[in-house]
This record gives sequence, C-alpha cells and structure tokens, in this order.
Amino acid sequence: MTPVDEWLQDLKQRGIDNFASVGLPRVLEEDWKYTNIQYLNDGEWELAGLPSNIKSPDWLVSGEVIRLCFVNGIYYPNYSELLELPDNNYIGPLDKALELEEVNVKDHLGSLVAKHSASITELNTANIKDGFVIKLSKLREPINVEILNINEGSDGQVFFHPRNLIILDSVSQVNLVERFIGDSNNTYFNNSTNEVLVQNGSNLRLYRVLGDGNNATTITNTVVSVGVESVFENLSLSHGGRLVRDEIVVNLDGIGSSAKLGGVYLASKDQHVDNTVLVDHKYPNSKSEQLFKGALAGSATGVFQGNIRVGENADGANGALTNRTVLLSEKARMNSKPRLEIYADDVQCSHGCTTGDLDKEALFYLRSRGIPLAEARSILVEGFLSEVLEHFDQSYITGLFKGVFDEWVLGV
Amino acid sequence: MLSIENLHVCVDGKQILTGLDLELKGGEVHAIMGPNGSGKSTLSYVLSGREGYEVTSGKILYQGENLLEMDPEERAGKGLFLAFQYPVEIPGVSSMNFLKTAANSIRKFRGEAEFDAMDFVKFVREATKKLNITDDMLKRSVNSGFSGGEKKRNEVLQMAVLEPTLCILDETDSGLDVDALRVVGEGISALKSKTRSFLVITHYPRILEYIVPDRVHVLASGKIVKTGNNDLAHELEKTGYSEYMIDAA
Repeated sequence: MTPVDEWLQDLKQRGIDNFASVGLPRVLEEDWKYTNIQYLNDGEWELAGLPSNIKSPDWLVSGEVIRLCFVNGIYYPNYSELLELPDNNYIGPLDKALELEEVNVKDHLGSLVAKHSASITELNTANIKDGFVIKLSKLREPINVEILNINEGSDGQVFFHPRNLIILDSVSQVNLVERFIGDSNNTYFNNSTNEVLVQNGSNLRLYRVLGDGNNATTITNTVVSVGVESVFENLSLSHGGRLVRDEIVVNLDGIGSSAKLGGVYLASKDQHVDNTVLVDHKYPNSKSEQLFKGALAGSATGVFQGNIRVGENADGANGALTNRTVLLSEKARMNSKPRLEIYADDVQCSHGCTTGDLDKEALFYLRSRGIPLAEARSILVEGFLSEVLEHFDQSYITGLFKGVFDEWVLGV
Repeated sequence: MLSIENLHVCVDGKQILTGLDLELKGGEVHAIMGPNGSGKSTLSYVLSGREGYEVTSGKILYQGENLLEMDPEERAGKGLFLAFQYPVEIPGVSSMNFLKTAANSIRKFRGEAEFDAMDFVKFVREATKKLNITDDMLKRSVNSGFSGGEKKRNEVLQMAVLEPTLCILDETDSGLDVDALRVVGEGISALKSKTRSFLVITHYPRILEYIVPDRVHVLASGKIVKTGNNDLAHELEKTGYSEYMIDAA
C-alpha cells in the first residue's frame, strides 16, 4: 500500500467511526428540524455499480470546455473530455489526482469539512470512491468545466458518495456546471460533498442543477473557504428527487472576500426540497448575498434555512438574505427560517422572507389579454423566479434553466 | 354587439349594480359617466370576467352569446378588451414577450396564424411610434416602475396590438396631465372604426374630446339614470353629479 493509499484508508476509517457514533441526523437537531431523512435507515444500502445501459450524455456548455462524466457516482472516462493544462494544474478524476504528488490532494481533502463536521459528510468520507478534482493556480484565463452525473441507480437500494475538491489559487477563474440527472424510478441515495477553496483573487462560478430521479434522495454539502479578494458564486436549480437537501457553508476567510448565492427550487407532488445556507463572515469588508426563490405545487414541502454569521473581527461586513416562495396549491407548505448572528459593530445585514400565492390581479390581467389560465400561471411563476437567474451571468448555461423550468411548469 | 339587461351585481355581499340596462351596437361609442362609487368600475370588471363579482340577476349578451359563461381569456379571444384603470405591474415578465404571447393567444383563439418574431416586432413598432413608447419600455417588465402616463399608454398599445371589437376604457384619462392625455386620446381616436365599439367609462368629459360618444349615460347608484347625446357630457361638466346623487339617495 502506498502512503497515499494508507492516508486515504485512515481518512475513510475516521469517517466510518465518526458516522457510526452519531448516525443520520434527526429532526430533533435544529438544522434538521424540517427535513426528516430517517427513512434512509430502512433496509440495506449498497454502493452502486455501473448500470447495463448508459445513455449518451447531452452536454450543455460549448466551446473550449473540460468535461467529466460520472455514472452512479463512478467516473466514466468514455464520455469525459479532458484537456492538457499547464504544469501544476489539474482537472480530472479523484483517483488520478491522488497519484499525482503535485496535486497534493491529501493536504486538502477532508480538511474543510472537518471544521463543519456533519454526520452526512462523515458518511460521504467513509465511502469515498470517486469524484473530481480541480486545482488551478495563476491561470488568468477562465476555464470552463462541465460535470455531468448520470444517476440511474439500479434494482434494490444503492447509494453513492461523490467527493469533489476544488482549489483555485492566485487569480484563477473557473466556470463550473455540475448537473445531476436521473430519469429512472429507482430508489437511490446520492450523497455528494464538495470541498472548495477559492483564494488570492480567484473566482469560482458554480452552476448546479439537481435533477435526480423521482425516488432518489439527493443530499449535497458544499463547504467553501473564500480567501482575500476572492469570489464564490453559486446558482443552483433544484427540481428532481423525492427529497433534496442542498446545504452550502461559506466561510469568508479573507479581507474583501465575497459570496453570491442563488437558488431556485421547484417541487411538486410529494417532493421535499431543503436549501440550507450558512455564510460566516470572519474578515473585514466581506460581502455576501443569498437570494433563494421557489415554487411549490401539489403537496410539496420546502425548507429554507438561511444563516448569516458575522464574527467580531468582521467590521464592514455586508450581508443580505432573501427567500421568497410561491405556493401553487393549498397543500404545498414552506418553512422559511432566516437567522442573523452578529458579533461585530460596524456591519450591514438585512433579511426578508415571504411565502404566498400567485398574484391574483396579475393572473386576471394576463387572462384578460387572452392568455389561457395555465399559460398565465406559468408566465407568472417564471417571472417570479427570473429575478434569481437575472442576478447571475448565464452566458455559460444559456437555455439550461429555462429548459428545465418550462418542462417543470408543464408537468404541474 | 353588447346587450345588458337588468344587471344586478354584488361584491362582498354588497349590491353595487341594481338593474343596469345598456344596448351598444357595432361601431358605436357610448360613454358611461357617474360619480365615484356609482358602480362604473364594477361594470367594467363584470364585463371582463374578474373574480369576486356575483351576478345576482340579469344577463349580458355579447355578439349574441352569454358573456357571463365565458372565462376572461375567452372574452378576450372574442374581441373584448378592458383598458384597466390601474394596470397591474408584473415583475420579471418583459413587456414585449407579454404582448407577443397575448397577441398570439388571441390569434390562436381566432384560428389565425401566429406572428413570427420578426413580423411581430414590425407590427408593434407601428403602434409604439404613435404612442411615444420607447424600445426601453418594451424591454422592461410589464408596467413595473412605469409612470401613470406610461401605464395608460401601455394599455392603449395593447389595445392597438390585440385589435379588439369591443373596447372598454375604465377611467383611462385619470391621473394624466394634459400632454399625456393628448397622446392617449389620439391613440384611442386612431383605433376608431366602423365595426369597433367603445364603452368609455369616465368621471370627467375631457377624454370625450378625442372619442366623441354617440350616447352618454349617467350611472348613479348602480343603474343608468339618464341617457342623452354628447351635450349631456358637457352639461355634466358644468353641473357635476350632485343632482343624481340626491336622486339616488
């Protein structure tokens, strides 16, 4: 066994031990009050293998782009397209990164999540197998990356635990599209963890689409450290799965660091969607925005837990948090919980949360112009949600969100 | 075109219209004038199919059909158009897309070919020029952050684009200064035709200089209490509505 193998073995063992001592989170825990995943304790879960038929990928980003494809969490080189990068830079699968001394995975993997230890990320660590690694330094040109996760599951209960590491240093810029797509009705559990370090004037734009299959459980944890004069942006669209919990923790770890977090969630039937965000301002003049909007139909339930913490050293911090939900049926429910925790004196923080029906006046106005009810509703929902999308540069993902949205609205 | 017979309407359990009769023929312009609270806006909303207006008795025939059985979009499809007193702001929906969707919905309803994007832009340009509507306004969200005048001009633009057969103008002149009134008035005037009818609901007669009515009705306490020609409008300008309010009480 090589030293790296031994190190990884140790890391996974710690994950196994830590998870065994606490188990899956319970609704008694404040952070999990509205999202119950105890059903995952029913039956046995096996690590997923490759399905027999793998559908061909539909890539979204065109032009010069690095593509990595994963199927049931397993790296699938046949569909991936890697590019040659200058020395000491790497974008590729985790297993290869582990072999490369210059990528130095072991200095970083596990260290970010360790500060925010959660049983669900311990479970991920215990099962580390595949994932992607992006490590860039001093690359001034923006790099486009698209990650496609084709999640099929299989007969019986399977899970997989993608583990990804992103390290951008010294004015590197990445536009990263990460998609989960699943068309099957299989029961599977996708527990993905991203560790992200963006530092020294670097910039990461992360676009995520969470569209797992009808009976899937999707839990994602993205733990980010943003350094001096660096920017982390996240725009996520959640529309698939039986239950989705999308958790983002951003540490603003440098002067002038900033985070812009946006999310759109669409849920119908008996889907449950949970967006949980913590932004921790640790340094002066750090800036953060959270803008999450969603539409809930059928008997869907939604959760938004948005937290801003401003530490005592973070004078000049500026944080804003907004969550708005439109309920398209009487049975749909939303739990929205904003929280500000401020220990510094000179800060600007704001929050606003609303939940309501579609504007009846606007609906009548559209209908009075000849637009049929169903179309009028869809126009209003799209108009309501577009505020989030317009807040982000979408040139890399033209049509992606619109396509998903149109399909969703037609199905409601 | 439009025939209203003994119309009684309740809103929140309160009787607002109390036996209104009206006969409007193709190509005619009728004005409905009256004091505040007489039921003018209620009439416009009942005609356009807004929720919350309960017709307790009476009937409305539009082109020979029972209007009250139709959804708002069906009424629009059949050529009925209400210019709102308070046009609704719709954030996130661009004015241009809204116009195109509306125009194509109505064309589809009539079994006509839909506009393609280029044709529609040309078609709209014609109308916007006359109404001083800039491209910037069309890019913005529907009525969002529009001034009072811009909102009313936008209503007239929609009217021009949707080519209705019956136009109901609900206090379209309210909140307009003289210059804005002229633009809106001339815009409406340009839409007059031999087959298109207008029901102009207004408190003040000033808009009637641009669209001269064949008949003027005074609405007070939920019914038409007097009908005359255009002279009646000028008379009302001098005397006001006090006479009718006392009568009604």
